[in-house]
This record gives sequence, structure tokens and C-alpha cells, in this order.
Amino acid sequence: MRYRALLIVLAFGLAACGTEGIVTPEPTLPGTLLDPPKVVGDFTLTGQDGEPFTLGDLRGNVVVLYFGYLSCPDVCPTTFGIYRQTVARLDEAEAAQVRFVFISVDPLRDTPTRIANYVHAFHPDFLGATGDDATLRTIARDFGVFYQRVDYDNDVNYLVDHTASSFIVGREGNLRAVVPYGTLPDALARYLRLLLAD
Amino acid sequence: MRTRLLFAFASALIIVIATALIAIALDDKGDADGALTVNDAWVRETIPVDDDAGVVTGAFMQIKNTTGATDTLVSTAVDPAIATVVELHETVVDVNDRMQMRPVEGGIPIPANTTVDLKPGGYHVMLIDVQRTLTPGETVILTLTFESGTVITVEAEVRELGAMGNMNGMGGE
Repeated sequence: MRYRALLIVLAFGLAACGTEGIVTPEPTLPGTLLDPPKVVGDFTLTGQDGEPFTLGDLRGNVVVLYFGYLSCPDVCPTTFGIYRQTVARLDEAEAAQVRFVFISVDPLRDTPTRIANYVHAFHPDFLGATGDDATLRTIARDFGVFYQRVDYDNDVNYLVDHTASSFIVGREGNLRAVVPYGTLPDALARYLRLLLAD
Repeated sequence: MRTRLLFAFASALIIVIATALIAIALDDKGDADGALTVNDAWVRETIPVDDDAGVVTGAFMQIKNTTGATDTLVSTAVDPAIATVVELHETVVDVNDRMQMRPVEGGIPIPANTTVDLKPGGYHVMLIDVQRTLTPGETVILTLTFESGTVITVEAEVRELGAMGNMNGMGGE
């Protein structure tokens, strides 16, 4: 009798865990490796060179996407500083197969030229893009990114709340990992190596 | 013989304890002559722009309060030729990793006998409507006004875009 009750509890417990979704990698790595990987739609924005930027064109590389804006003096530049330090930890062959992309969710102020000046201040190979609000909204929904303009008591400035995580797309084009703001270069490099080896 | 030894030991103990207590008391009184000091002030560089949309950047620093009384940084000013609007902001990253920046109502509290870090990811000064490109190596003069009436002028050095200052112990490159 007692054993039956135990089995029932166990069964419920296992069922509650579910099979879909999320595996936390080795305990020392922050963030989540998605299992299974999330299929995300391809998209085209305007790149920092003014030409179309299509995510699918980067297939074969591991792509780190960040959604932010240039009038953010804090979280956004420090993240790209971390990206720069991360590249320094990769060898030449690895670095050649990784792309870092700044997607601005503030197209009103962040022109392609501004974005180019910004990303290139960190690394000559970093990329950037932006586009119209409708396209950005679709991409954000697909990736699970939140962003929201916030007006406040100020005539010359507004703020943009946004998800500060890094979104890592694998070589096959699926979303493979979401890594929190502040993740250190060593941990990020380990994610990249994991996905490069895949 | 033993009594004398015991007596000597007890006296020594009392002297040691008394000295310690006096030292502690004196130390507290000493802080009343303490001060507000600002260290490691820096401003993040701005990228060159050729359009009219506003440029925003941040200033960071450490404010040390050894006065024994809580104070508040109520405002910061800069030459309008550098930026026309200066605000005090706080960044908050929530459990969903969403970043929010908001103006700090009432100013940034600087509790007694603590050092408050204005750093990326936390409190910072926002320089808004920046009027010209700020390049690494330059100095920007900031005037900090505190609730106590103290006014401190600091020379903040402009650092490169990815500088992190004292961010959560991550340090520099």
C-alpha cells in the first residue's frame, strides 16, 4: 500500500518535470542551453553599412545577438566590452566562425552609421543592424526579447527598457543558448566553443 | 605569590580592554571630522555623429562618506557646452534579465561611513544632449551637489567605449 502511494507520487513528480525545454549546462555556466534548440525565423534588417543584413547569410557561424540601443551608457557598452574580451580568448580559427551582432531597438536615433561607429569602436569585425519597428517586433517575439520605449519628464531624451541577455544562434541557424547580462568572457567563450564543436 | 600573579594578570587584562574601548570610542569621534571624497571619476566616450538626434553618455565614480552622517547626491552639473541636461539614474536588471534605467527620485543616498559606487549596472550620472564628441584622454569637469550643502568639483577622465570601471569586480581588460 505504502509503495503504491510512493510510486504515484514519483510518477507525478516525473510528469511535472516534463520533457520539453530547458537544460542547464554544467553548473558553472550561467544561462541556458536550449534543448531542443529553438527554431527561429530568418530576418532581414538594415546593416551597419546601409546594406540589407540577413541572419541566414551568417549560417555556418555561431552568431551572438544583442538587442540594445546606443543611448544606453551602461549595460550595452559593457556587454560589447565583454564581447571584445571574449574574442581575445578565442584562437584565430574559432574567432573566424563567430559573429557578434548589435541589433538596435531604437531605430529613431540609431542610424546605420552610428551603429557602425559604435560596434567598430569595439572590434572591426563586429556587426550591427536595425530596421523598422514592425520587423523588430517580429524578431523580438521570435527570440523572446522584450523592449519598450519609456518617455519620462525630459524633452530631449527617452529611455528604452530591454532584455539584456545575449542570444546565441548555432551554425545551423537555431537559437541554442540565452546567456544573462554580466556573463564573463571565459563563460561566453566556453559557450561558443561548445556550439562551434556541434 | 599566586594572588599577586592573579592580580597582575587581571590588571593587565583591564588595561588592554580599556585601551581597546578608548580606541574604538576615539575612532568614532574621529569620523565626525570626516569628509565626502570622490575617486576614480570617469565619463564614457561618445561616438562621432553627423546627425541631430541626441547623444547620451554616462559618468561614473566612487563617493566615499566618512562624515558619520548620511548624505545624498542631489544633483550633478556640467558645462552646457558639454551637455545641456544632466540627470542621476539607476540601472536595474530584473529576474528576467530586463534592463531598466530610471531617474533617481530625490538623489543618490550616500550612507554614513560607506563608499557608494556609481558604476555600470547601478547608479550613474547621465549626460544628455551631449554637444560634442568626447574622446578618451579628455577631462570633463563635474560639479556634485550634496544635500548637506557640500559641493565637490571633480575632473572626470573620458575613457573608451568598453571601459567597465569597477563593475561588480570585473575590472578592466
